Amino acid sequence: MGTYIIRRVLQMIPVLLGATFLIFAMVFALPGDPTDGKCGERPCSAAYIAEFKKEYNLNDNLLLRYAKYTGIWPQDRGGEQKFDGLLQGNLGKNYNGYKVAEDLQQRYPVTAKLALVAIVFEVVIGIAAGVLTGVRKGGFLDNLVLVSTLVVISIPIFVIGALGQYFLGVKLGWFPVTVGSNPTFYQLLLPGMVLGALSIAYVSRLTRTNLVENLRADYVRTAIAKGLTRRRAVGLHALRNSLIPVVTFIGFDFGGLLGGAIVTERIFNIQGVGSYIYRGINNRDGMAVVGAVTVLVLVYLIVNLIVDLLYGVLDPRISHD
Amino acid sequence: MTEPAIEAVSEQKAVGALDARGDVGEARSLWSDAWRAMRKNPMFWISAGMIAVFILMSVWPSLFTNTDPAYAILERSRERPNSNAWFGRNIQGYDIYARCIYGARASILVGLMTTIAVVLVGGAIGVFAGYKGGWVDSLLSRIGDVFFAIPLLLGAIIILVSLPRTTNYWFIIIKVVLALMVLGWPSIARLMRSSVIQVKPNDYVQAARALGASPWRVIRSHILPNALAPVIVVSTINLGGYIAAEATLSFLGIGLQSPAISWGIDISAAIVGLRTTPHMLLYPSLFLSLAVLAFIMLGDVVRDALDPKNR
Repeated sequence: MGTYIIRRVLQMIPVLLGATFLIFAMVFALPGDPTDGKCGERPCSAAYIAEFKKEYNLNDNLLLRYAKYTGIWPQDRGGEQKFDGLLQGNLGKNYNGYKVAEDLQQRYPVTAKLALVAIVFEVVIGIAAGVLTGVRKGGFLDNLVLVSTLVVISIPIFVIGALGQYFLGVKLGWFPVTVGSNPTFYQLLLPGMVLGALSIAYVSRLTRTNLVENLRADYVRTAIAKGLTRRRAVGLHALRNSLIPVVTFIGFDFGGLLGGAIVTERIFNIQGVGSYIYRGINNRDGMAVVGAVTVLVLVYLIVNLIVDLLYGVLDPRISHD
Repeated sequence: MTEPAIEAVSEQKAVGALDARGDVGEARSLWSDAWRAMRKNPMFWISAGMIAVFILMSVWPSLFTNTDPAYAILERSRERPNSNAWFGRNIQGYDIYARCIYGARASILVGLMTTIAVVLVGGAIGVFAGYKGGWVDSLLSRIGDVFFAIPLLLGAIIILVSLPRTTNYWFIIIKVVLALMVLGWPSIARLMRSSVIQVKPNDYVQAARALGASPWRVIRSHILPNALAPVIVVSTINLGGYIAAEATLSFLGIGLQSPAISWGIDISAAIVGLRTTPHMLLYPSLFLSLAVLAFIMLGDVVRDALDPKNR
């Protein structure tokens, strides 16, 4: 187990470096000058631009800049050469001079809460619907859930968001319409549902398919033959094994959830990472975008490692030694 | 032989089952089996019919409407559905019915072109990685992981913003396709790689190699036909997802832009009027959802038909 985790963590490093380099290269290829509009209604002075470019290493080529950003190459900090980058735990400053790490500290908890609400919805509603339909394949409930998941999958997330905001928020008044800067779980309930809507549909279909397949397996027949109740045979034996692909999906969908947060946070005015990245892209603030995405990719990789470790818990036949 | 017996034998011959000597009849491939199963499924005909209509709409929109979708009558802005404009008019006074018809082109083009590009690139990389194995496989898989770790929507936004700005319709479409392709290929590559690895150790592949067939021939005539099924299913379902992604990018103001006509643009312009003029939002969303639904349903049907366990 220990060696497995160490091996996986080591494997993460090249992926993380590759993904950050990709984002780094794309973000700094964005057209437009980051010093535009920095000095009010007049063009910036040459001295300011020179200082700005020096501060953010904009005079170097892409590879050297990336090396300095990751901290494997020293950069000029107040006259002395210092290793100061990702490896040293420094995400740098955004173009407004604020530390990216501090910005993210404010915004990540919000998005984390949002993602947590979405995942709880996915797991609770998705798996419950999957089990109810899988146990009675072909029944009325089964067809109802199949049709409604198809409908949810085919409506784009921003339409679901706008409809939910209007009907549940404005008309019925069950949920707050927009979310402030320091939201509670209750305020994030509706945005979380919207964000997780697509995944709920997939989770319930996946649970259903796998449960139907496993209910035909020999070990379920044995469990029923030896006198277990159907509830116990389904819940303990069949469901546990059927959850492996579902858990895989949830881990793999986590990235999509964080991407979808850009849309959801925009609709509900949530001050999370999604809106931070979106604003960073529009303001050509490369440092902010790269920093936020780096943390995002890292979170994604860790979540997937945890998912892989969960396999062993769900199915004792899978061992990581 | 009595009359009924002859009849029975001839019936058996007709369906290609056992003939009079008890030999097995004409061999049926996975694909012809799947086709037989699909033909009987009404869902297949419904989704295929819907897709055919949408494709016809995108190739030849004037077949469905005579109205110019770019002809705005500002004084009739936000008009409700009536006999003159079936779906009503939007804020700019455009005829919503005509815009829905003409908007199909952008979505269908993005969906089809992205799927083709993703299958070609992802499929080629997946086959290569799975067939070669060893360090080539590890390297390509890690590169795929790198792209996979970046969320599709997020990466697509960055790519679209960093590509040069243009107002040319085709360039914008190609930009969107490119952005979705760059981030979409790893999922197909992974799928292709795993099914190639499953097919490769089979006896018929080894026999072909032993007989001296070139790698290209082994891949083309022995591995690909047997490894393609999951890729086709997933890409059909993904096609619907790409159409939705295009609309989402337009909603964020990054994909297609006016004066181009697309469901995504119309939906995002109509969301402000959700409370007062819901018809402006309803019709473009309905068309978009039906298009996505058609492809997802088709994918589901094909998957069920290809899976022998479901029969």
